[in-house]
Amino acid sequence: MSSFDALIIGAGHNGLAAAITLQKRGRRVLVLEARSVAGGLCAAREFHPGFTAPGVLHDTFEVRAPLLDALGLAQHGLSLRDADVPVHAPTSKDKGFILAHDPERSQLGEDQAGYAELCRVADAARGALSTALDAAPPPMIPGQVSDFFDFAKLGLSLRALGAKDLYGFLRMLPMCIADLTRDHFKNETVMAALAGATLLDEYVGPWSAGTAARWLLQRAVSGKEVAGGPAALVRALKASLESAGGSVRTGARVAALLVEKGQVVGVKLEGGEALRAGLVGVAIAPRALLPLLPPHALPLNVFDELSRVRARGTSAKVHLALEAPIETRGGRHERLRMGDSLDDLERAFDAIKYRQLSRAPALDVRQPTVADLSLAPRDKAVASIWVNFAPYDVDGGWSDDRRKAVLDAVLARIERYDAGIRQKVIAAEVLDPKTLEAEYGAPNGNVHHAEMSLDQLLFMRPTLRLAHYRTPVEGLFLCGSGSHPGGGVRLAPGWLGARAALEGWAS
Amino acid sequence: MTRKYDAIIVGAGHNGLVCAAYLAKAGKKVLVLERRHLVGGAAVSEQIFPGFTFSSCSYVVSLLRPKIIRDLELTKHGLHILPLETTFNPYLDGTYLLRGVDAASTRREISKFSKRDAEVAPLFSQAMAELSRLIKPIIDSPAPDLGSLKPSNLFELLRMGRILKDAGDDWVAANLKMMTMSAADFLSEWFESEKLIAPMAASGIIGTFLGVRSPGTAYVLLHHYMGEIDGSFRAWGLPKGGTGSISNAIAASARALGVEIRTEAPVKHVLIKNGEAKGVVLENGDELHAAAVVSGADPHRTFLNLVGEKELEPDFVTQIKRFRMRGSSGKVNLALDRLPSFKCLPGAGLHLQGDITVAPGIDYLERAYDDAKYGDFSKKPFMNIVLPSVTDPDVAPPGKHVMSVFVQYAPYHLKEGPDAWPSKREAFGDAVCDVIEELAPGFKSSILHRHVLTPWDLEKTYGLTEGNIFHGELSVEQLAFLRPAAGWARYRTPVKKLWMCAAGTHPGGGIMGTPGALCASMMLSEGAA
Ligand SMILES: Cc1cc2nc3c(=O)[nH]c(=O)nc-3n(C[C@H](O)[C@H](O)[C@H](O)COP(=O)(O)OP(=O)(O)OC[C@H]3O[C@@H](n4cnc5c(N)ncnc54)[C@H](O)[C@@H]3O)c2cc1C
Repeated sequence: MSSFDALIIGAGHNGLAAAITLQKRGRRVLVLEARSVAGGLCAAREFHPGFTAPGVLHDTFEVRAPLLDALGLAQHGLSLRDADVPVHAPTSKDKGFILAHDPERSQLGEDQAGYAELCRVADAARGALSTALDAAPPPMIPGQVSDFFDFAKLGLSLRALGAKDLYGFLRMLPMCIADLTRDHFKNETVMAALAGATLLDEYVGPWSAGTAARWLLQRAVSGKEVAGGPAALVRALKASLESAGGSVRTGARVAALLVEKGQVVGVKLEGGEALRAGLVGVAIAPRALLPLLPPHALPLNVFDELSRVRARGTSAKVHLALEAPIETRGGRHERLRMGDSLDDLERAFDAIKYRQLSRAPALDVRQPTVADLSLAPRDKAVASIWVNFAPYDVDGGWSDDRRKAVLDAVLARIERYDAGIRQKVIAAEVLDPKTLEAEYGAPNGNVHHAEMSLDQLLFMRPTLRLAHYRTPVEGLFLCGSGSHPGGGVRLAPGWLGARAALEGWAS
Repeated sequence: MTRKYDAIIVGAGHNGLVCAAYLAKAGKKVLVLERRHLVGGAAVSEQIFPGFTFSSCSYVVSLLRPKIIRDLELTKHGLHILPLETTFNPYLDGTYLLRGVDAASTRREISKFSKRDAEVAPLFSQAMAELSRLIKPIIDSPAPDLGSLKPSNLFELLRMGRILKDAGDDWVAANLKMMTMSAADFLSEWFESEKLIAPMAASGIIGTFLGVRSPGTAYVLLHHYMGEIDGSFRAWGLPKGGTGSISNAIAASARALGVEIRTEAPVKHVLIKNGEAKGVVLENGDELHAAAVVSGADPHRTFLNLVGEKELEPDFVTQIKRFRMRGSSGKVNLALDRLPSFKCLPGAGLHLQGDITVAPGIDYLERAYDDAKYGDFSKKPFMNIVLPSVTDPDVAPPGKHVMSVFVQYAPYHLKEGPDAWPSKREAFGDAVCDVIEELAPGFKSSILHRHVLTPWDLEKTYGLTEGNIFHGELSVEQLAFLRPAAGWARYRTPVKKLWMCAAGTHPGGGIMGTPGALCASMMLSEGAA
């Protein structure tokens, strides 16, 4: 008999957040991690000797400040940067544009005013949206009096918008980002820069409905980034957990969940070792739960829903070791988004519908070494690049040739803005969706664990019956990106999942 | 000073006519003004070629509300709807699927491709019917006004909330999924065979500028399960004499109730004094006065042409300009020497009596959409074909036939601009005929006459801005309380005594009559006419 009250499967940032939450409430927690390091998609990755990528996920602007306090991360060396890091949208002819969270700090030429107006309506709803995203999802249909209060609170914060902005906001929700940006902007590069934020690992292009909501939701929770990026976040999470008395065991892959009389009682590791605990948190992808459970553990309708969760991996990750950072006509920037127009992005998306690679992919680039010199040898640089799109189920399957094609397409895209890029490359690695699945357990390579489409958000994430973290198996709960409020580096799914588990299964 | 009317209705589309009839039924003196030489708008029958009668635009009916048929006694006034039972899907690989002859044969047909799908299909239809029951009360009443705290409004919201609550989580969740998912994804949750999924998904894109893989198209599917003829769900019909006979029946009913209808009477603008509509001015300069004016034209035409920007708040003008029209469909009307013979199912038969859908694969449909996204017509389009003369021989000379081909995609905004359409019209018609020829060899040699309607023609001839067949896209952000503009979804307009009654208002396009009927009832309840 081991001496744990709770086991968490998966030491990604959400698993760690869940573990800290439970440990701080007096539960003895062990986190089980299949890989040799903790951190999951946030773990630092030395992809070439001396060159380290900040994590497969490289943005931390969706981490909410109150959570950092609740999880005690500030005491463990975590700090936030002074401001958000603006995105540079280069063009091949001029200095390009700067898209910052704050319209005042943006440089968008003739679209400056349009962006300010768009942000005004989006931010008017920010209160309501962040309320929805910081708490457990509201019930779909208010059933109890207390639910009505939750709804009323949401409703009231929406009503505070005033009728005009309320309608403006409701109209935006189901829209596609292409229509939304065309309503407000004139310059295609600016439209593409904003639209580019909605594509990562989704099966959508800028003309797909629902992408406007993706942007709105992202904007509502985005703020300052973590100093040192995702890897620093993981270090602080681990330190906080350990100082509270919890621990992480790496190299421990869970092979099965142990269930007795409808109640989870522990897990069995690959290799046969059994660990017992009355609470088990699942911070891996929700669908990965199915093969771990004994037959008939879940009611048929839950099983059915879970097996329908959509998680298509559509993005590849490229890491470049460089002699010097990418430099466009607009200079050196920490973040860049590359794509010339909405059509350019849409064509990139078209390819994956036919299981092909985008010929001219849209790129979301982070150059961590612009801010953090420790990730590369002196005077050298690292570029961490999300590539949209590269489908999991590419025709003919993934191979070295395919990965080389991705790298070529990426360099060709960057070359439009930095002619010398090819001479700067010292080494490169391509993580295709298949590899992301094999190495990180991302289902079909999808780093969000479940697509963030409108029908898989809020009280529908990952499914209607599992949206409130607790599963029908007593003691077994979800606490990963597949749960509300979803993927990206957020911590909230872990925190909210653990809190739901602490409330117990009685009701 | 001319005689004064209680209401003048601009446009004799079927909605304008329905609105007129209901107002007259309540004792109002009503005048309808139509710019063309015939009534019906997009629901007209025209002898484009001598001896051949075409439903030039809309061609099948399913959404026309039974209550309207009863209230206006349309059957008495000549409405006769012939059933359209079968759905035939020919594929490029020489196979086909024929559904609707009877339950057993439909099952056999689907089993050719998947036994599992054959089992699931009836369940799916039932589920869709249940889901549409949930939506129907919302479609049959005016859109709630979220911005208003009036008790009557809150009551309506509450009533709709109740309907949802009574249905329970599962149904509401399914509904939300339909609103947000793509038709292809949604159907793939039910079925496995693409041979079934593709033609079914195709009904999710009709009239939209979306592809079968675009989120939001699952909802449009639902519309197709909402049709009812005399109360039975999921039934499409073919009006005897073409869709114009629907408009003619409504017009006859309206005239019998005392409505005056003038054709070839284009309205130039609405007469507005101190922010209040007083009547209309015709193209020929005549001024006509009325206590209320109702526009049966689309929102762009109504506000940007007939009213004029200077009479409106800039904010409202922006909203109307952002209300998306962008037509995406065309129509090819053909006079045929003989019936086509399909390679996969040669000769005549039941399959030519119903609806013939050319949607041979998901990728096929999606590629058709891709062409349109970048400003081209589809080289290999999606088509919905009917041969009305098979069931209604009067529409063609003996032994001859008419064929109606609804085609997607034909984007109004070509990359060369909309005015490039006249020079591309025939190439577009050729693309359509080429695909049919591939499926039914010898077809082209049977064509006696061909009439191609591009979105540009729909705008010029039928007055549909940008050729949009529904007076504005039926995307979620343009429905219910947002159709056509926030705060103006209840048939009123910012111009006092000016109302809207056509497809650009809730619940939207199609031969349905609901916008016209709801507008009339709102006007009457507010003593506006
Ligand atoms: C090609 C095509 C195929 C379709 N297929 C189907 C189908 O199979 N089934 C279905 O249910 N729906 C179909 N539809 C949609 C359906 O026909 C329309 O949504 C519906 O008919 C709209 O009716 P309405 O009365 O609202 O407007 P309309 O029919 O557009 O009527 C508006 C009227 O106003 C008149 N007008 C405009 N401006 C002025 C003016 N200044 N002065 C005087 N008169 C004016 C116009 O001439 C027109 O008669 C189709 C539409 C098209 C174009």
